[in-house]
Amino acid sequence: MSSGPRPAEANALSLKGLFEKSGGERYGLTLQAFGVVLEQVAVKYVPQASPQQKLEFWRDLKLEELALARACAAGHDAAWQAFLTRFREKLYDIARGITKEDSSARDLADSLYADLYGTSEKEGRRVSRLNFYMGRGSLEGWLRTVLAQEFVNRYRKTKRLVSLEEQAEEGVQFSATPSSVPVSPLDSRLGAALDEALGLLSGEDRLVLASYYLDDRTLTEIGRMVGVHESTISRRLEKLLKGLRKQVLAGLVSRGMNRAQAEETLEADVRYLQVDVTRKLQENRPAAFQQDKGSD
Amino acid sequence: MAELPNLLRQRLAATETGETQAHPDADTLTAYMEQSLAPAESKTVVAHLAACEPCREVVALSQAVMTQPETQTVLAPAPVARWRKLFTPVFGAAASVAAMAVIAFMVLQLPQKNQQQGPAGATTNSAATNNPANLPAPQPAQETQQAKGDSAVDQAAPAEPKAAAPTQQADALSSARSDLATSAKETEARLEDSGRARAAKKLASAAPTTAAAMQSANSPVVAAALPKKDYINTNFFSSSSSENIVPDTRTTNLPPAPVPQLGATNSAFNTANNKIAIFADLPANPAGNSNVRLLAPPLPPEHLGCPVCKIMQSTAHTLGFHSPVKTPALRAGALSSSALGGPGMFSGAIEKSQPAELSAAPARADADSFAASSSLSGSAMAPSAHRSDSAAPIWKVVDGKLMKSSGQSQWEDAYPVASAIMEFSFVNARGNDVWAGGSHASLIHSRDGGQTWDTVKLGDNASGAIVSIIAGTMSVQVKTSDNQTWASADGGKTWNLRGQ
Repeated sequence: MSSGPRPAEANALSLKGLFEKSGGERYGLTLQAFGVVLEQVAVKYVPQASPQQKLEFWRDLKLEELALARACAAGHDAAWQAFLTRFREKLYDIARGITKEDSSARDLADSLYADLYGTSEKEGRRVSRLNFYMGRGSLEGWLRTVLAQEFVNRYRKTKRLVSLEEQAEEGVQFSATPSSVPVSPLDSRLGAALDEALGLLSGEDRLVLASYYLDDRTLTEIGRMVGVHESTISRRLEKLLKGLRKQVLAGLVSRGMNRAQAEETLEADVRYLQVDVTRKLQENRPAAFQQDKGSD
Repeated sequence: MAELPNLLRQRLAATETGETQAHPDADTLTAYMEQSLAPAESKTVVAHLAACEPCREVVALSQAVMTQPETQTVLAPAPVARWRKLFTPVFGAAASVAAMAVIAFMVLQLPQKNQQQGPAGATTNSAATNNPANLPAPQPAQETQQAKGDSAVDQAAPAEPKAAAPTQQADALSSARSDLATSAKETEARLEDSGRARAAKKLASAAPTTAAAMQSANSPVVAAALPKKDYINTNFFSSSSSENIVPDTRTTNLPPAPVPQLGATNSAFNTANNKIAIFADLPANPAGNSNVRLLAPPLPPEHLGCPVCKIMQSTAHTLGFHSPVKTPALRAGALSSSALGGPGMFSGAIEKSQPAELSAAPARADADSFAASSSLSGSAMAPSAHRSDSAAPIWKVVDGKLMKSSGQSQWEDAYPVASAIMEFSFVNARGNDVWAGGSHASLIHSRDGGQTWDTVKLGDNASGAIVSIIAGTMSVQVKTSDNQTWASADGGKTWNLRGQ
């Protein structure tokens, strides 16, 4: 009596269509293996989604690159040939763009290439890093991000593992002892007022402020990160600063200060904050990042 | 506001997340950078990025090496508004040419507009407009009314209303009128219709400077026929030239104008105005007319022939649009006057009619000084009389005799009765107004070109031979060999001794 296919059949038809769209058959993937991959992706990002929502989510994935990556992870030669043809040179170029230096770039790219191939084994099977590619972004973009993450992790480890000789070269043994005079604590009312004002900002505004004041990013970099023009970032920064000052002063006034006292507190604490902020920034930032700033 | 960024750094660093917070995976960061995330998920990533410095570094590093999107191919040009399509290069060029034409028209016409906006022009316009029927052949009264407001040309118009003037002036006017009529007839003979007659009458009315000078004390004496050019300040010529040269006959201590010599005159021509030097070298006109008349602006034949052009011409005249060519600021009559005779007179008129001369010292160019220069025609310039108008007699003094020539190179004794009484030494002729003096301070005067003579008595104590006669409109100044200077302001009726 029923003319249409049942949901399970419809899902199977759609899955088959997605598989055909991905071209996974060329790389040696089966429809079943591809369905497992899609289900894995849906569980990770939309675990509570209905079959229809999953289907819509899958349609937005980079199916062809997902099939290629998973075929490579499964060890299909055709997939590896296609991957190397498309991304081998790009991988080196991306690494060179990140490290700004050839040998480091080759080292970084080779390291990632080994991870992609899978040098470690788990339960008798090679574990390829391509198994973590979920197809939400392009494979090239994913490779770029992974390379950047590897680069950041590598230098964060390097920062922690400084040899004693390097410490001696840096003059750590001659560094001044910490001052016994405690730094005047920041007025709690001022910190509370500022935290309150920052909490009212949107995530993007806070990202702009952090990128500009903490990371010393250029307006172009911040604009690229947020997806707007640099002139917009400039205007937004000016506007944000004015708004923050107004809100902090209002917060201080609401906490029992008059206007003059609020402005005096805002200026007086700067002298202590300058030392504190510098130290804070030097603690959390890898030296390599600061070197990279100069190249931009 | 310098304090706030430092505060901000401190508080932002304090809110930085630690290592324990889960970072977005590479897929999510990539999707965020490629703007393929859902808005809600994108907000989550942004919020994490705002608090996680390592993830900001990853994003910044990854985006720094991100391949710039390729330039999209534009399949069709952007739509352009229809009115914008008008602004083609051809349209721009045409608009530029049109603008230049308008500017040129305004530059050429603006002086004429200014000229007609003056009070004189307004009077002329009103007179002409009020009598449109009389435009082809204006009545004398109309001419007179027009003459009051117009420039030097119109000021020398026929002076019939002046007939009611005192008798002395009436006599002068009669002689002037006859001279005027002579010139007018010559022109009118060449013109057929009334429009031509009007133009000719204007030219002819401007011709005899003697008549113009006798008309009133304010009449300009020095006038020339340089056609106005575009590069000439037409306002100055049309409105100021005549006034600037108005002789003040009441001023009796004006120094006489220097009497130019022939050589000096020629050099003046060469230095003052090359154009005039060219005119001076013109051969005699076969028709017997004065060569100087060539300086008068020629009337465009097309404006005289067709009725339409005639109407347009008269309309333009009515509205005051005087063509720069048709409206000579300096009168042709000053140069074509037959009574002035020799080239010395001509040169004197030309010298004073130069724009530079007029502008440099117009106040000194009075009638008397002009007449002084004209006295050259008495004797020294007589051999060059063939350049003058054949209708006017030419005078000279030879061997104490006053000789007259009608232009045929035949000289006759103009005052034979004087041979036994006096010996002529000087003659001054302006048209038919002739003054001649000789020994024993003898002075005779003729208003009819030598037909009849009046004996003029200078004064009881006049002595010496007359060596100089300067005759103006009504003022006459005579110098004797005894350094006596006699002056008359009433045409010779009464004389005053000015200096000895």
